[in-house]
Amino acid sequence: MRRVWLTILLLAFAGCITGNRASAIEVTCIESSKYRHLYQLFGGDQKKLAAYLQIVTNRLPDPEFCRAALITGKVEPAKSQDVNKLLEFVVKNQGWLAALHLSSEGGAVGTGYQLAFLARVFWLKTYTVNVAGTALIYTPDFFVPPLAAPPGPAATGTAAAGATPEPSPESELAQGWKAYLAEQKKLAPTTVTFRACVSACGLIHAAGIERFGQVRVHRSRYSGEGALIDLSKSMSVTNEGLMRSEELQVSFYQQMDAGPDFIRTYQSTPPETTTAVDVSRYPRYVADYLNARCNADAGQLQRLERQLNISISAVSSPLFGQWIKTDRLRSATHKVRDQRGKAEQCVAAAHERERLAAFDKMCGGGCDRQKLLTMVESKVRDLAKGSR
Amino acid sequence: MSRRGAKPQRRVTRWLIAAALTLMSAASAPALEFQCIEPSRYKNLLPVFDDDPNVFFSYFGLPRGRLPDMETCRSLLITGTLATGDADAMLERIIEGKGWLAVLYLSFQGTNLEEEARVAAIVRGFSLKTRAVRHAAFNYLPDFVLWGQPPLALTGTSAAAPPAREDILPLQRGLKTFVTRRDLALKLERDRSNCDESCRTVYHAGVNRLFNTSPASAPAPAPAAGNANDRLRVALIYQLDLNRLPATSDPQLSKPLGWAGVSPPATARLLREKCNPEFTVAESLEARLGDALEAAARNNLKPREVEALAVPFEAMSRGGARLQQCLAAALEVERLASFQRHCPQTCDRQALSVTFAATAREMLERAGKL
Repeated sequence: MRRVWLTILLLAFAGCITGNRASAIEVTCIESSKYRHLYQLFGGDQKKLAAYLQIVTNRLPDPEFCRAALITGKVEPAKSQDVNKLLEFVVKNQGWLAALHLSSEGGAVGTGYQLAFLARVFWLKTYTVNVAGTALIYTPDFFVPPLAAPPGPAATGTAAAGATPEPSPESELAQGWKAYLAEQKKLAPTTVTFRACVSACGLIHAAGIERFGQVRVHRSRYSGEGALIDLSKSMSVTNEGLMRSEELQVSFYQQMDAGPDFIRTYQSTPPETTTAVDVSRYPRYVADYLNARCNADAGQLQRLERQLNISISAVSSPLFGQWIKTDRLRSATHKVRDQRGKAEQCVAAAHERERLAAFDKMCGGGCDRQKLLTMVESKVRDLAKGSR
Repeated sequence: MSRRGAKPQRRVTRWLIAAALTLMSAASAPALEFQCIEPSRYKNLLPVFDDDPNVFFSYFGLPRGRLPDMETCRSLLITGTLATGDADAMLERIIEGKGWLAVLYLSFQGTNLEEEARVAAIVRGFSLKTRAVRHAAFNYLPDFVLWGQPPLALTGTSAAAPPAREDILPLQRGLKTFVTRRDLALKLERDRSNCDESCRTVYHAGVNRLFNTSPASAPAPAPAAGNANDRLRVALIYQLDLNRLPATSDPQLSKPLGWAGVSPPATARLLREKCNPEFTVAESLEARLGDALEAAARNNLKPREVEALAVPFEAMSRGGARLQQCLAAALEVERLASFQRHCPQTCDRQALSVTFAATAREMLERAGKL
């Protein structure tokens, strides 16, 4: 027990002392993720959203609920109430909060663990913010926008005169997507000034049940006022303290199954710098479950689509003024998107059920905030215990 | 102070004032400013080639020889206002570069038909590439290699995506480091960052022409207003591109200069000819990959089917890289040959100036008769 508490103290030594106490994280609703806007994807029909996500129609989100939150600012030590802010947001949205978009330089590691466990127990997805200029780009987490119609008879206007095309789910989704984009344009943009997820922010990112975007990592360091190493401590104390902090962090990343590449990059990046690294999209066994359930690997299809786009750009780039035709690859892109759309829908539906069940488990008879905070703290303690 | 000493002192003062006025007027006279784009100095580009001269020469398909002076700039940013004498200044910069100046980023103002025709003739004569600035946000990137993502591995599952392949594209590793430089953004003035009037003609004179586009959120720049010189400019470009005048009824003559295709017709022919084998292979690989994708799609793109696509994808990536390298090399060889044609042993700046001035005058005269 003494060792556990020693580790917690070392956590404070290695991460909780921060230079700037002026700001803490802010958790805000991403306006375009409010359900009243998301319903536009389905022609304003709430039941169609329920059918898409395979959830029961007698339990639908309030139109004002937020599906995604933006987390900005520095992660501060416990007294700054960062954990309460996120918990409050989760509770307020009654299980319908599904994704966290992260824009943070990091900060206190101890708080980072708490926020991370909170994200995991409520089955949240995590994203590094996607930004154009300073405007956040939000794409619903459960929806893969359909591509424009592929070149073909319908697109080239050679369909028989007077023939009315049959409505298909794909065309309905395309129309819904257009309507949603039009709705988004009417909203004030969400401004993001920091476009990365760095250091302790990576703990929250890694805890996502589905993870998108890169994290900038570095190995353990003393984050005191303007110094990466506390030179007032001896070398042996420093080595022992930071090694223990690293063990804890590696143990956390293993628990979250961030992937071997992620852990390797974390360990090999010196404290005075950061390295960008991909977190694997799902923990391995979640991936295995989803692959079996959906009979497809959505992540692999996503990579295939990216690879197709890379290949098309490589041989059709205007840089040298001459290129080859890529009609066949472009046509394949549509097939891949179509297949991926189905797989992603299946994955989204599986997550939806799991997330709502997780919320019910945590907050079935009303959310006891204190109990939840105690549970999160005990998870951090268990982590420290487990890492020894 | 004696009166004898006062006269020379007044003379000196008058001379100093006159000199200062001359200097001030010279400083304020409109003229182009040529700035080296720092990351484009060869010393900064060499790491893209792994700091290996063999990689440098082989990438460009050049025989081993002397490397360019490491301080030489491959790209210049041209700002300011076009004025008489700028064509000679341009020539001077090209001669200084000894054939290794390759790209001009254009963001200058003003109209001076004679001078623009001379600068255009020089740019085309030395086979330079042009980049028109149409928006103040413009990052420098090497003109000889495409910066893109390395091919991804398609093995594995969602849970453990293997790292991207970096061994397929030549220069990928060096380029990855290069693009992290913090000085790639061109130093442009927000409200004076466009390329219209004379600048547009010079842009068209490039043998490889690209421009930047506004970010999606920014309002599109207003199209250049048509003016009396448009007709003349279209006729000038016709002569540069096709070595003839347009028909008097050509509808292009009644429109302002648009944003032409990347390659003038002669360059397009040259590239197709020089890289014919690479084009053939790339087209064949595209078809092969298309077939493989179709077969995989028929089997619902199951994980194993997708994994099997790694082989044709890799072949496609390699084929694409070879095509790009061939195109880059063809343009490089052509530019160096152009320099050699104009400066066989040494460069006679005066003679070149006279020659290009005559070419420009002839083109303008012919265009004026339309």
